[in-house]
Amino acid sequence: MRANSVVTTAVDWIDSRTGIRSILSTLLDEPIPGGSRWAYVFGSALLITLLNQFVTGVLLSVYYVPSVDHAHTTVAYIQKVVPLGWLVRGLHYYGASAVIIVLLLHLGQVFIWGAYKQRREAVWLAGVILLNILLGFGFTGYLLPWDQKAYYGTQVAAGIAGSIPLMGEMVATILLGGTGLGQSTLSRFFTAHVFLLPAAIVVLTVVHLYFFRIQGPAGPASDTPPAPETTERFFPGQFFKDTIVGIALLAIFADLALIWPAPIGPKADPAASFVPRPEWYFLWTFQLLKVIPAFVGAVVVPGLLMTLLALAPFIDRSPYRSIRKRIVPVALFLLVMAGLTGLTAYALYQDGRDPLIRVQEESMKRFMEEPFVPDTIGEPPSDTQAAASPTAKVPDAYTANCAGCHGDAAQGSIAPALLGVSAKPKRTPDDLVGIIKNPEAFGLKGMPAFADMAEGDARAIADWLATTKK
Amino acid sequence: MAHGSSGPGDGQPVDRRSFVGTLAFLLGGLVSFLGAAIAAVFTVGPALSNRSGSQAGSCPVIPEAPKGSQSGPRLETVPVVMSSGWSEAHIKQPVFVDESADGSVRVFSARCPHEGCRINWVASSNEYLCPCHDSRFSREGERLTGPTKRGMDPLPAKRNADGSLEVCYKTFALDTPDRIEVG
Repeated sequence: MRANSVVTTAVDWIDSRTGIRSILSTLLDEPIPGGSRWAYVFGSALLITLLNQFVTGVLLSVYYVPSVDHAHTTVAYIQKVVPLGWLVRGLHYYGASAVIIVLLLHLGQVFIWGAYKQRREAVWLAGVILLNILLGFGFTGYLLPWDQKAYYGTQVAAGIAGSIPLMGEMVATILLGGTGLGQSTLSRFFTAHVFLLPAAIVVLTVVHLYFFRIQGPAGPASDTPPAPETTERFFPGQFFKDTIVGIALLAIFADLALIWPAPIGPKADPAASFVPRPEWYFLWTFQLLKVIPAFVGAVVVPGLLMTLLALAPFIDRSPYRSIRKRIVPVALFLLVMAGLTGLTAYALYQDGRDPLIRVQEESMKRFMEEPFVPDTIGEPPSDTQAAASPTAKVPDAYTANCAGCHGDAAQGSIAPALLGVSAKPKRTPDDLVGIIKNPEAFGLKGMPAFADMAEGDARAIADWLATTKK
Repeated sequence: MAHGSSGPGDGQPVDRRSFVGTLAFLLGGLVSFLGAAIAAVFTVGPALSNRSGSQAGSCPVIPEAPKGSQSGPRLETVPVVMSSGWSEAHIKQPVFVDESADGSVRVFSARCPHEGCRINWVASSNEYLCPCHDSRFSREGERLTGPTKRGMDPLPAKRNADGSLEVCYKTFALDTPDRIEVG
């Protein structure tokens, strides 16, 4: 009892100076009509996922450098060298996708349950703005690793911005920080991703929660309010459920990071060909672009959908919340979601059958397995620089048949570099001729066979490759 | 759990003792602790495992070092590779090269053994002076006055037949009476 009174005295002392009890009461004693439910976890789950992004994002910035020279190396360093770097980056990578998934669940539930009704338009509007900020996070974060995927994905996005009538060129120039994708682009995407958008999201989240607390939770999707005696406070019931779901989410991210390490591909190379894909939550608009003009598919359609979403509480104005009395809006919402999901699934299906995409994925996998190579800063003293050996002329047969995938000087592109390849086991000039004619016989699955190539041409390529050095 | 109809902020103290509430706090605390541990390993790990410093065991050559004059030691730079995190930087470290008339050569690190500032040679008083905290050293590198706890750090050096100088650059722990090599 004595220890108890000491604690009470200490808490009283702190409370009289900080008002901690009333702060806790505000945070924890919010009444929940109808009591706590697992169905109410989505908002908190989103908040916890965002917190994960904040913490891991700050940690990543310990090593990340937003420079076109070094960004890619620093991300590879985090992934391959830093202790638990794979975990921190994996939590951020999978957390980013989870933000979108949890957000869609949260939004979908609010929509289907009609929870934007009963004076909750402001909560809803703040939520729609938050959705856009989160998509902005995804868009800007995608470029930061500065690998092929990042570079070409952003290149295409800039092209889409350029397709806007009248002001397209201006929008693209402002987006890129100039007429081309380069250091200015990376710098401004970095600033947006780590300073502007986080500030915006903190403010909007506070506003969203403030409006939410003014109106109170909507409760079940029913037109008869729950009995007052079933009301529970947020703590402990809902607090417990939210905590469990939050921990489960973090555990899932960590698991995913362990099983499928967050990917990074070869460094962005404007000279190498690459088939870009946006992040999965933009795939539906990418799929639309295959059949309709860029401006319509990537600006008009998403813009209209977003406007409709924002206006939902003003269009759906009936006082009823139960789904049976809101068949039309609920059906429309589900129809649009099904359409987006269908487009996304179709895009994934087509990519799954695209050999070029597979080759790119293999090249990414190879890069992930390669040991880390540090960046060199400054020039080594001139006398220690190895004199570059003069390389023999590249055979025409190589340029015609091999350069497309292996690079015009065998430096590697979507297929591996071949410089110094004959130093490796089972890669003598004779073997190389055999590989050119029948790569499968050497266990090489991604490479096409050149069975019809003239013996002399294959020999010329193999002999030339044998003269190259790594 | 009893949930009264009283709303928050009505002055009634709320009893926070409940099994699920405590469990949630404990689990949340455990995960936060795990997160902090991950953050600590992530941020501190590379600093401990990959000590930044000059390349160990290499003795770069200063090409065609001109002969030292009687007036005093000369400041030279030694190329070293500093590996730090994701980078390997080619930098130059300052050393004093002092050759006597008989051809023997003496090389000192120009880093002050006190707090690592760059030492200067002051010809007028025929001594080394560190401008940061006024540590003074004789031409032989011995401590004269000031806060430094030891004399200047000598570096192994060798004159090659072609006139170039091989200097094995090293760094030592700062502000210790003994010379402890750190990289």
